[in-house]
Formats: sequence, structure tokens, C-alpha cells
Amino acid sequence: MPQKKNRSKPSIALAWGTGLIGLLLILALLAPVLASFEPDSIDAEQLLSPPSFQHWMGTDQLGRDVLSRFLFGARISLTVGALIIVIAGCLGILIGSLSGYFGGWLDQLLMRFTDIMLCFPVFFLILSVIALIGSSVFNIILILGLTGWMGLARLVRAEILTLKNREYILVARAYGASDARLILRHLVPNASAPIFVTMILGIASAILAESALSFLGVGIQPPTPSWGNMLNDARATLGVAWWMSLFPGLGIFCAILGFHLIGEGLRNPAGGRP
Amino acid sequence: MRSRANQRNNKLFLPNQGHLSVSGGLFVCSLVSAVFLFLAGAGVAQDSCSSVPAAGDTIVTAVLSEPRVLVPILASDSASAEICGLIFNGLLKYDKDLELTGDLAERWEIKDSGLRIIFHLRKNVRWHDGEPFTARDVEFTYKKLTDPSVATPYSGDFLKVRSLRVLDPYTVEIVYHEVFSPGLASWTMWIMPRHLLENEDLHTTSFSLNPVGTGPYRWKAWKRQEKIELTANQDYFEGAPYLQRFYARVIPESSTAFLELQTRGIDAAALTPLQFTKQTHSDFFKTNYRTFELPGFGYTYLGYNLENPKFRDKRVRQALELAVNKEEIMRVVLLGKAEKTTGPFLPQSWAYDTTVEGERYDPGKAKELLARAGWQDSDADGILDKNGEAFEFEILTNQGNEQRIKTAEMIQKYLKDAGIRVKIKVLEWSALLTEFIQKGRFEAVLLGWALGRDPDCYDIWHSSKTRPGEFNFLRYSNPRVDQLLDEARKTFSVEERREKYHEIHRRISGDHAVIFLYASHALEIISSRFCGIRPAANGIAYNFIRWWVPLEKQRYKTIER
Amino acid sequence: MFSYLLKRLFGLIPLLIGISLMSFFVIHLSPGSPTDAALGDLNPKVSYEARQKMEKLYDLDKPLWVQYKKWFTRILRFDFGTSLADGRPVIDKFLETIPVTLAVNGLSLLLILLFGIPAGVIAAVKKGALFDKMSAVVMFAAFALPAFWLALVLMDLFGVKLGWLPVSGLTSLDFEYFSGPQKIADLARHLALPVAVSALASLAGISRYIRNQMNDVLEKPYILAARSRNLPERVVLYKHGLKNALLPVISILGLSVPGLIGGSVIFESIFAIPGTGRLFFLSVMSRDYPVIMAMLVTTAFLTIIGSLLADLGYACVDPRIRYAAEEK
Repeated sequence: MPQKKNRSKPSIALAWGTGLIGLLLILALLAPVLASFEPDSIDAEQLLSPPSFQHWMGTDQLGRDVLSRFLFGARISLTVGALIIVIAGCLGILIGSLSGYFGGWLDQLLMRFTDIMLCFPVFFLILSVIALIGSSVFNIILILGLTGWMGLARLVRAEILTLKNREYILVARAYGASDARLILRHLVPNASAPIFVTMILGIASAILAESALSFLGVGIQPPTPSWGNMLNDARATLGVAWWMSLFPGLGIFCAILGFHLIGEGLRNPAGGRP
Repeated sequence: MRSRANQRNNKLFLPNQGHLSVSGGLFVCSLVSAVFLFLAGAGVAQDSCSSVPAAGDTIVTAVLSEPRVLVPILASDSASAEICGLIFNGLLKYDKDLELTGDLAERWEIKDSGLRIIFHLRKNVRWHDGEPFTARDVEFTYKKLTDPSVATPYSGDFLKVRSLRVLDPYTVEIVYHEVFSPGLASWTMWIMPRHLLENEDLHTTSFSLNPVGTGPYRWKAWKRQEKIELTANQDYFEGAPYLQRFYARVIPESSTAFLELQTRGIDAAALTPLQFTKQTHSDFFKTNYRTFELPGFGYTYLGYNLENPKFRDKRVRQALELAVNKEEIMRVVLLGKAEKTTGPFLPQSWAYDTTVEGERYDPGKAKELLARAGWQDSDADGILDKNGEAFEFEILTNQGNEQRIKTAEMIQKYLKDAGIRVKIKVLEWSALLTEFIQKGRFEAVLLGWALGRDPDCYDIWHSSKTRPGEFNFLRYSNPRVDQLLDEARKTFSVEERREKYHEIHRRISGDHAVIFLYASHALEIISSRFCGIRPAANGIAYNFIRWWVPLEKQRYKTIER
Repeated sequence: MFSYLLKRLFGLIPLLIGISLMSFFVIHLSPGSPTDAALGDLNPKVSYEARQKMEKLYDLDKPLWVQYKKWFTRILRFDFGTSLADGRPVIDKFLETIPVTLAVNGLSLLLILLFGIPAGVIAAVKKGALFDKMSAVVMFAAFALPAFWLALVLMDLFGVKLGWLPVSGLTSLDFEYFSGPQKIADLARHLALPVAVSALASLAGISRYIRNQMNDVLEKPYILAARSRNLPERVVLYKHGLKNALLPVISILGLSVPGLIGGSVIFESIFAIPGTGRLFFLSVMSRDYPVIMAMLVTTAFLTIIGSLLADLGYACVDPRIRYAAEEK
């Protein structure tokens, strides 16, 4: 059986993933220590200078140190990605499990609401909100979180629908397990494999979504650096300053790879079915 | 007769520079300041251009967004203005030196010291459909401009007209309520064909999909969000243009447009300062393109809400100006492709007083002034304070203008050094306008004004223009400036107007009403196969119909129409 | 089954009304006004009166509910109104752009399924093998690169450096003068890059998802049972394995409709393609209410159909859902 042979593989993936994300987290946490420049310190004599001993990742259009911006950008991008998925994950699991477990009018109501939300092209909501209150980091997190849960909710609901008639659930219920206990201890954990993969992909997507918003000019606004808006800045200099796009791009790449490896690594132990 | 009617606004290759301004223009004037004729970049020896001009070939240009509407008096975006400029004519236009000259009008007379203007129209001008152009078309256009049910942005200057009479099919007499010198320039407004629009609702008419004008190019086809095709008007009254076809491709991304240049997919585009200075020096660009650096028609400024207590003190405003290194902003953000400006007029205009120096960067003096105004860092947190209140404010600017955002970031940095905490809020245009600017809900804004050729700036600086939706949203008020603005409108004498505008310039600058930051240049790139391009104060597009391509270099000759 | 379908269909009506109400009020309450854009950039010569004139003309001075009533009665006659930006019927603007967007997204979806499913299955079967690892790296790389950046790099490579493909646009300048086959070839050349870029971005998601699903399914008892019966591996994999693994994928595809219609702004801007995403973006930016409303409602309608189809798909493949629904 091939599965047996591979039992040790996931932990390697997990190790790599944790290592990668851990490294990024350390870089982000130590940003004020590691950065030798202020992320917003302008140097008119060093516009777009390539990587050197002084500026390891070169400088941008305003002569700001790309390394410093990369480090501080890591803080923003990782926080934004994680918080978005925390908000979206809580909402999605809550709504999906309630809907799938209880069914009936509650299911109808919640799923109709989910449908309405799904039909709202998300970026329009984002534009409206940003137009109202400006695109601060907090607003971006909130709006992306509040508009990112629907897919997960439907997934959770579908999983729970297929699980809730399983024998072990029926048995647990016969033993008098409460609804909350059934949902939280039996149904959600057993559906956790696809949920987890979705959420992990979600962090990656959230980081990418922020960079897409930056492309439309409504992402996290300068001078706060995020990998997304750094990359967007680099768009204008693509043919002149490769370092401006390479490093934030690499940051995003590593984050996504790391989260995926963690996801894969965690999947198998957690996904073992009874 | 060489020039062509596009002078109302020189947007031909300037899709992102803002918008059209109708009233523009210098009445019988001469340029006071240095003339801006710079032909920068790769100046390829134009040997083949010495031969006789030949007709043929096509020019492909890029626009950032597609024209919204091609009814002349409703067109307000730059893409519509560019296309309309090729299809329609006004009664007057600006020549290469920015002087008003006849277009559909052969000549004009100013009577009763400016109260009455008589236009003598060209005879034998025909609309593209063959109908003759007459004074009735002028009357019709005027009526539509002042019709309350027509939502035209340009009615302002025409509401000053008391009456317009058609004296004969080729003579129009216009009488103003009072002498109104910017009025003459307003007749650069494009004239519409009465016979096609008389019974149409201008807002929904199909004319907008198939405009008919008197201009050098005829309408051919429009593929939505893709491209617009025009063909040369062989019967144009100034002679048929040499270039037989004109394409405007809609390319929303400037990086895409730049890649298109590299495949010669487009012949002309506006460049960013970075592209202009760093990316067009390869052999490919040197052989295939020529670049032009031309004066722009607007300026960028940092304006305060002058009703905000923080900014009421003139010393504070002066200190802020001293604390900002404008030279460095120009060098860093615009890579030097801009003009220093110290007042509310275009630096190249006769209204601009070149003797005004403006403040030079002097952080020490700024600190001193702020201290005198009571702002000191009493709690040693690096931020100035007064009566326990820290000096901090928020600058609003609009999305999508990279240079403005970068400028705001630099200002933030300078003011941080001066002990002032600045926040930047970048807002989407429509929201910025309605929610913040019109309602007066702002502390400071970083914006720009696109200006017409006529220096009249009554709407921006007169203290009566502060209703919501009007343009003195900074609430600038100076009785002397009000008086001067009024007087300058009431005389046609350039000498008198110049004197008054110079004083306005000195007073506004002396009040430190805003920080005048820079007037950026227009940076253009055009395929080197085009001959006859003569950069002048009015840009390069003014003689577009005299551009041509030598036969052996023509690229698009195979296509038969 | 039929009654389930009927019930769902009836449920659509209040849903559509709900969506239209929500959209209407959100867009009208959001700041800004159509007059800003129509009157251009900050232009000192655009008069105060002109702005008020426009508001009156477009009923923007009426109370919101009056505007909604007007809109709703028109929509019952399938009249989407005229655009505030250029006075053209909304339906025309919409119909111009939709084939382009459908073509790009349809083709890219095809590519995704064509490559994503086999890649996912192979990766799952040979879990941990070189292919699994390599495909993971390649696909994550494509996924992790922001689409606009990838697009610009590919445009530079294939358009400028190699000169194989046109950089942007949908057709060549002289498209109108081409013959039939030439037209098709021209379109294909122009669409190649946008389709490839948009497919690459979602390929990783789908194929990794299928791989993981496949993994789960292959550990299920019925697969072991099938294997123990010595059924050919092909039958086990595709008949028993893939069929079950595809279940959640159906749900994902059903949900991707609004993304397909509205989410392609970035490709469309970069490649200068005239699609619905750009139309929508421009309409939002200029507060062109009738166009925004029409697009929201149409997208909503399509999404509902998509999600209905997804549910039906589930019900077909997994009978338990059907029973559960019919019990109620």
C-alpha cells in the first residue's frame, strides 16, 4: 500500500512550511531591529539604485530602502492575510455549520443570504466602503474578511450535510450529545481537511487580493508598505529596477508556499477518518 | 494657412493630463516668459523630411480611456476632447504661439470697447455630409449652450452673452451684458451642425455615435473600448491633412502602452518621467521614435482649508512652504521634468509674474516662524504643539495619480522633520469631490488645476465662488484680489490685464494661500517616420494636419478603403 | 427531485428582489455622484449650475424610493435604461462586452479543467513523487505571482522579445479587412496570452484541490474494497475515485460565475480587452447607476443559476442531499 510508505512525508512538508512561515514571521517581528533605514526615509541621491552593501535590496523611486520596506511590508501583509482569514473563517464555519446542521428555514435563510453576498461582486463593496471611509489597513481587513466567507460557508454546509447522517453522529446524538457538541466536536473536526485547505489557500488568496486591490489603486495606501503595494509601485519600473518587483514578489511567493506546505503537512494526521 | 483647430486643448497626446478647459486663451498677446521649445531626446537627423510632403499613411495613438460622448458641448473628458478636436472646429483657435486666430471665423471685430463682437465667417465651408456651414449653426450651438435642459459644463461663459444675432448667413453679432474679456476665447467652442441636431435630444442622440463636423478628419468607425478610426477629410477648408487615417487605441495601462511602443503597435503615446529619462535611450527607441518635452497646461499645489484655525495664521502657512523642499520633489518625483511655479498662472503665460520668487527651502526659518506663531515642542515628543494640541493634519489626494501620491509622501517626510505629523488619505475621485471637497471636510488637499489658455481664474480665487460645488473650496478671500479679478475681466487691453494679473500673482503668493509645487511637463513620444512636427508654445498637436510621412517610410499603405 | 428544483426556482424571486434592493441602496448611498465624472476633472469652467442641471435631468434629486420604483417598473419590462455616461442603452453596452469576457473565461476554464484534473489525479496517485513535488512548485509559483506582474512579463517575453504574439488588444488594426480564417487566427493570437494568464492563476487552486480530494477518497473503504476485488486500477481511479473527488469541485465552479463576469478587470485592463470587468469598473468609478444596477442584477441572476446547478449536481451525485431536501 503506497500510503503506508508515505506516512512520514507530511511531517517534512510541515517542517518546511513551518520553517518558511516562521522565518517570515521572525523577519516581520524583528523588522525594527533588522532594518537599517526607516521604511519612509527618502534619499534623493539614491533613486532606484541597485542592490549594494548599503541597500541590500536596492532602493525605490524615492530612494527608500527596499529591504526596510520589505520587512515592514511583511508585517502588514502577513497580518492582513491572517486576520482576513480569521474573520472569514469564523463567519464561514459558523454560518455553514448552522445551516447544514439545522436545515429548514434557518438553512434557507442563511443560504439565501450567502447567495446574495456571493452575487455582490466583492470589489464593488470594497470600492464603496473605501470611498466612504478610506482604505486604511483596518478597513481592508474588515471588508475582505466580511466578503470572503461565503465559499467556505457553502463548503462547510455541504460537508456537514454528507456527514450528519453518518452512524457515529446518530449514535452520539442517541447518547444525548448536545447540538453544539455535535457540531463543534464531531462534525466540524471531521470536515476539517477541506476546510483547512480552503482556509490555507484563503490566506494566500487574501495576500494576493490585497495586491490586486493595490493594482486598482484601492489597496493599502502609501506610505504604509505592503508587499502588494510595493509590487504595484514596481509596475512602473519593471524595465528599470528588477529589484523592486523581485523582493516583494519573493515575499509573497514564500508566504504562499509556506502556508500551502503547512496545510499539506497538517492535512493527513488531521484527516484520518475513523 | 497651416494650423488646425485643436488648440482649445492640446490633449492630442495627453490622455491623462486632466480635462478640457474651454475658456482659454490669450487675446492679442505675446509670451512674456521664456518660450518653451525644447526638442529633447533622440533627435534623429530627418534627412528624408527634406523632400516634398506626401499624403498617405496612418497614425496610431493610445488613449487611456475611451471618449464618453462626442457631442461637442457635452464632451468634457480628455479622450472626447481629443477626438472632437479632429472632427470639429470653433470660430477661433490658438496658433502655435498661443494667440487667438480665426478658424471658422475669417476675422472678427471688437466694438464698444468689448461689449460687442462681430464674427465674419468663412464661406464655402461644408459639413462632412456636404451641407454648407452658416451662421445658423453658430446660433444653434449658442442656444444649446445656454439651454437649461442641456447639461453642458461650458454654459458659464456663454451666460454672459446678452444676445446673439445672425446679421447674414456669414456674420454673427454677439452682445455681452457687460465687458467680458475671457468671452472672446470661449468662441473656440466647437460648432455643431444645426441640420443634424435640431430635433435631437443631445443627451441620447445617435449623433454621438456618428459625429459630423467641419474638421480635418471624418468619423469612420468605433469599436467600443478598443479603437476609434478617423479618415482624412479631403475637402477640409485648410487643405486635406496628409495622414490619411487616424486611429486611437484604448489602452488603459500605461505599462501596456509602453510595451506596445516597443513592438511599434502604436506610433505615439504620453510617457512617464521615468520612461522618458531611463527607458527610451536604447538603439531601438533612437531609430524608431522621437521624444518631446513640452510645457504642460496645469499646476499641482498643496491647498489648505483656510477656515481651519491651524491654517489661519499666515506665518504658519509660510513656514509650511519653507519646510517643503520643492526643488527636491521635482527632482525625485518628476525627475526634473517640471517647471517651478509660484502663482496661479501657467509659467509660460503673459499673466505669470516672473519676478515673484516664492519661498526657498529653509527648515530653520520655518521652525522659527512656527515658534513665533506659538508652535513649539513643549513635551519633547518630536511633534510641535500649542496649548496642548499637537500639530497634525491630513492631506487628501486622489487615487490613480502616482506623482501626486509620491509628492504627498515626500511632503509628509519634510513636515515630519519640521515637527508636524501628516497623514495621507488617498481617495477615489468621485468620493473625494462630493464627500470631502464640496462639503469642506478637509484640512489640506494635494491637487492640480488644469488651466485654459486665458489666464482668467475668477472661479478659483474669487471669494464669491465658495458655494458647495464651486471651485474656491479652499475659501480664499482677499478683497483686493476680488477687485482685481473683476477688473481684469472687464478690459480687453492685454497691458491692463497683465498688470492686474501680475498683482494677483504677487498677492496670492504673498498670502501663502497654497504651496504652488510644480507645473509638470508633457512628455511625448512619436514615431520618427513622421515629418513636419514643430514643437511650439502650444505643444505639438497644433499643426497635426501638416504632419506627413515620406513615401518610402509609409507603413500602412497597402490597405484600401 | 423535480419538486426540489421547483422549490428552488420559486425561491429565486424574493432573492432577486432582495439583491436588487440591496444593490440599489448601497450604490446610491455610496458617496460620489454621476455628475462628477460626466462633468470632468476639476475644471474651473464647469459651472455650479451645470451640476444641478444634470442632477435634475437624471432624477437624482428625487427621493431614493421614487428612483427605485422607477427603476423596478422598467426592469419588469426588461428595460435596463440608458447609461448616464453616454446616453446609450445599457443593454447595448452590456451585450458588446459579454461575448469577450465569456470567451476569455470559458477558454481559460477549459484549460484549467484540461490540465488541472489530470495533474491533480497524477499528483494524488503518485503522492510525494517527483511529479507531485514539481507540479506543486510550478503551480504555486504561478498562483503566487500577482496576475498583472505575470501578464506584463509574458507580454514582454512573447510580445516584445520574441515577437510571437501581439502585446495587447483583441484584434489587429486591419481586422475588418481580413478574411474569415484570418480573423479567427488573429483573435486566437490576441487571446492566447490573456487566456493563459487567467488560467495559470487558478490552475494551482483547482489541481491541488483535486489532488487533496483524491487523496481523501483513495483512503476510503470503498476504494480499498474495489482494489481488493482486483478491479483494474484505471476503473478504481476514475470510476470510483475521481467521481467522488470531483464533488466539491462542482461547488467551486458554481460559485465562480460572478468572478468570471466581474473579476477580470485586471486582465482586461492590462491586455486592453473590452470586457465586462472593465465596463463594470468604469461604471463604478463614474457612478453610472443604471449600468451598475444592470450588471449587478444580471451577475446575481447568473450566480443563482450557477449555484442552483451546483446544488443539482451535488444532488445527482450524492443522493443523501436529495433525500435530506425532500424530507422537509
